Amino acid sequence: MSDLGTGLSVQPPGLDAPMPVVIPPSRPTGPKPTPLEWVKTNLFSGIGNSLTTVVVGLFVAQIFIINLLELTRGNLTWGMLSGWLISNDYEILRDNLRLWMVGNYPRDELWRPVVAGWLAVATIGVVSGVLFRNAQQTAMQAGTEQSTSRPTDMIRRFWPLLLLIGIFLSLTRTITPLLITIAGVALLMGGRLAGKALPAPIRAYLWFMVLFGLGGYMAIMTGEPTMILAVLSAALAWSLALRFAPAELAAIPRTVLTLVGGIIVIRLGQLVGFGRFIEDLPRDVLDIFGASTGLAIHPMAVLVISVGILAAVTAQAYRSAATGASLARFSLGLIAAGVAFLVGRYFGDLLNTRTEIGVGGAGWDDWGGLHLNLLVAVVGIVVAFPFGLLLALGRRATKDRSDPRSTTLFAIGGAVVGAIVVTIFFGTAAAVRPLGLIDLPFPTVVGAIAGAALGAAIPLSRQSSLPVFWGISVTLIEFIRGVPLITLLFFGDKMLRFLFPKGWEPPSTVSRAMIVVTMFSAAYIAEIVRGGLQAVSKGQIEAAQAVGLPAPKVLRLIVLPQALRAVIPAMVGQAISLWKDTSLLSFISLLEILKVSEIANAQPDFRGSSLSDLTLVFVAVIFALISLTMSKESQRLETKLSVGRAQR
Amino acid sequence: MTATTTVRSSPRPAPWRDVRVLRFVAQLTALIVTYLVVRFLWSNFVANTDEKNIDRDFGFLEQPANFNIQGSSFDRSNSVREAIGVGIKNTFASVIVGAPLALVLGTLIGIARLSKNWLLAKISAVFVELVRNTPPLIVIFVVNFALVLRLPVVADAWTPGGVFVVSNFRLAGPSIATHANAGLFNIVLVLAGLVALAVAVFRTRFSDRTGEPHRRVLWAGGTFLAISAVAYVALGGPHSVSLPRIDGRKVSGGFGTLAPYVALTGALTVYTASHIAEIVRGSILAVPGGQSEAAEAVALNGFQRYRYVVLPQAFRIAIPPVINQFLNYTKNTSLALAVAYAEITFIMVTVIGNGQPATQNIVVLMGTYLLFSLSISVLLNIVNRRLQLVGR
Repeated sequence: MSDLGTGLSVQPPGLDAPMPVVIPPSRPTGPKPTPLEWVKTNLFSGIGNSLTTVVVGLFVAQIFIINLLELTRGNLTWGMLSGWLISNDYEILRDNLRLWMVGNYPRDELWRPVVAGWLAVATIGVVSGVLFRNAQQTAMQAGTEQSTSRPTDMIRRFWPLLLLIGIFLSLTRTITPLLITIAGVALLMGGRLAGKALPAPIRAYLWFMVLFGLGGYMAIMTGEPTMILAVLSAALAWSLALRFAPAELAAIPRTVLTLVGGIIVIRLGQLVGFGRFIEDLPRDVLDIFGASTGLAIHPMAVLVISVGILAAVTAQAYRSAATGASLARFSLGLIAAGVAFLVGRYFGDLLNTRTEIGVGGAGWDDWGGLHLNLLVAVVGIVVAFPFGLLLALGRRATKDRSDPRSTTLFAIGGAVVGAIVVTIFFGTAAAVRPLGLIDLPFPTVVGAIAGAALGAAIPLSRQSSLPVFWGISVTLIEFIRGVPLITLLFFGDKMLRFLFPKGWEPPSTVSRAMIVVTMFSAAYIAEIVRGGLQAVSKGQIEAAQAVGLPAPKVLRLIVLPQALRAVIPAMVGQAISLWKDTSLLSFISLLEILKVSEIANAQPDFRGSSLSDLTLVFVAVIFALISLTMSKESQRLETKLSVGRAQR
Repeated sequence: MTATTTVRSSPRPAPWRDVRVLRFVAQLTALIVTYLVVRFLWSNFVANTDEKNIDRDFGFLEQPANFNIQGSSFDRSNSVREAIGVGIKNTFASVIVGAPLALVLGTLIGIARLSKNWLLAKISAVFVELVRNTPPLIVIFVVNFALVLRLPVVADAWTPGGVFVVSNFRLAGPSIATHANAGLFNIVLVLAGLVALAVAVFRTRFSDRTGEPHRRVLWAGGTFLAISAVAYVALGGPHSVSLPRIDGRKVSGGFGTLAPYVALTGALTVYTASHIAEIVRGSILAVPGGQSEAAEAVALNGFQRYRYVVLPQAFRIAIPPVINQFLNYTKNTSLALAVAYAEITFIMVTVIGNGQPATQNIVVLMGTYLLFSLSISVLLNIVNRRLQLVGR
């Protein structure tokens, strides 16, 4: 059409033509330096620089030179690395490799970790393929350069992980592990190809692929596919129903749909065992309030009441057509989920009785070794994330009111009140000398401190529109973050069973550890997400309100996507920290890799030789290489995200 | 229209759609649920401890501890409360030495990582990446097993310079021994310090008035030294240096620390320093590049550029995460279980092992750490507010 005077004809691109790929220009670089020039600029450019090079170089060289000298003399003094590496005897590692990998998993069921591992690796491959294809499509639509990935890039990116796998394989005695690893790598690559080839509608269900992979993993390892299959089918059906609910659905009387959905949910609850809960709950509630327990509340009454509430809500929803339609979809989702749950349970039972999966298997109380560390780390992040999000939202300051002066006044007042109250209740037992000066009763000191904290919290809570939730969130977060993980583990190990009522079976050690680790992780995630929430500028929220979005939608559509995207590097840092903290599980006698090295050293074959060095370094290498992988991924994400931001 | 009409506020929506009513109801429900949950847990706790005949009060604090603590004058008959006191003192001893050391070491390594010398930069990078990615427990184990326990026994200890004693049980250095008049001398020292402060203030005001260089450090330092020297001679030498001597299997004299303390503090210093190095590196990189270029344009050399332009801005960014690392240091001292250093967690575990009620012990333990953490958090908030650049 228009000729821009350059003799070229420029056509505006049609709507279906791909955007021209724009490759941003790269900065000009000078000629590459020769090796001699490089040495001169980087190592010997000035007097200070040369001196540093000489000193550091000597320091590094002497480690190796002294090593070799001592080695020739057959002498190993402390701290010398390479001699130690060569002369060591790796039998202890070879003999106990199974312990280090899966702990005390039943010997004749070892095919389960292998198959579950294959499934996990295939899922990772599919997910990476889907992510790659999604990123490619976004890049194509935005007109930016598409990233290419070659196998050598992958090797450079994941070298710590490959090194770790190589170390493990070098310690095996048969060829089976090598074949298993090769099959795993093949599954990974195949999964990636499959993920890239999936059509777009299926690629949107990325979350479900992860869920199915995880569920399948747990089902195979524990040998109980029924419940997992049922829950997965219900989740999938719910999501599909919500997505594909036809518009005509809104025409069906909403009351009917909601009632049917509600009944199915309650029936499901009774199936899973909440029936007794529904019977006992009113009695327990009345018990707590000290009322008479002569009142027998029939479950049918509870059913009728709940259905009545649902009906009232639906009747209200008639006022707004949009709410009515979404409520109808919600009911359809409930119905679909209920039906899918029952179907899934049926097929799960079939799997259980007709195939090998259901026979044997081990619940996670018997998992150990590297497997246990990974499990606790993954659960600690994945399960803790929603709780951390809730805590962060509770603690979020939505208003700008805080006056340092009134905080101090309230703190002092609170301290006085707290001291008086606690002394009245707990007496003046057990004097302490807090400053070595005067004797103060211990409860008074505790009361003063607690009172000060509570007093200071009152004016601070005015920053949030829901002060009670702010108070609960702050208490939980500051309590959990202020205490070392080891004390929380001891708390979980020794104190938790006192908090359960007498009839309940106390959870196993692994479950207790997972509860504690999840709580711990949730508090840290809450602080990270809170930082991200603060990073979203106020203008975004004001603009959303100006457009008329209700508060929950503002949160879901505007604030959270930006906030969570901003804190991804910090979240990966928290994941690394949690992975490193799984080493503390050895203090509560869980069979994770540090404890395995203690056990291995105590075995009769190896006792007496100072082999704690080797096992210690082995464990340190496992931790370090996996952390290094996660840390490199985090750095890579940081560069990718900051580049994206600059381009926009 | 000049007549003022009262504008009626919009009619209130129905209660079940009124945000204010919903907020109130939600918070009331939350309070009730919290009360019910706490009451439920407490009643379970009471029932279970009654069933097992465990005491629920804090009377165990007065009971004798029945164990010894190495390295202090604590013995079996002292009460549990005094044991906890010793534990708190030991934790504090580790933090007060290790945290500043970690800061200094971490800053140096962080700056070294940005050096123009390729070798130095790479070695620092390898060190930081290696130590940062290892769990602190394993760093403690490595320092303990690979270094401290390999040191010679006391009888064959190393004595570098005749001033230190390095063994696998005790490490000692020179200290100050007090003789007569020591208290008086200390008071004179404090007075001398105040006089030196006054001199510094006087010199600063003098310099403001006349424009001459104040040299207040030289003046104040000289005054202090002069007064101290005169007092030292006049009081007949109240302090002297006490060097550690090997006495068979013990070390007498000097200032001694136990090997577990050195292992723990050394390991945690190195670990925290690697984190602080990353923080310092990130904060130096966050200072805009134009600042460094402008500094070079006004002919500041490398050291001056760092000291006057880059580091002040970098520290503003770095201080909150660094204080967070101090907090982590304090919490990581709980890992002294691995080296049997008698800080508070180890003492609590021993006390529980000796049969005292576990719950109260754990509550006291968590309370102590909470106290440390909350004080450091308050400090962090004050520092944060002072340093914040006012924004929207």
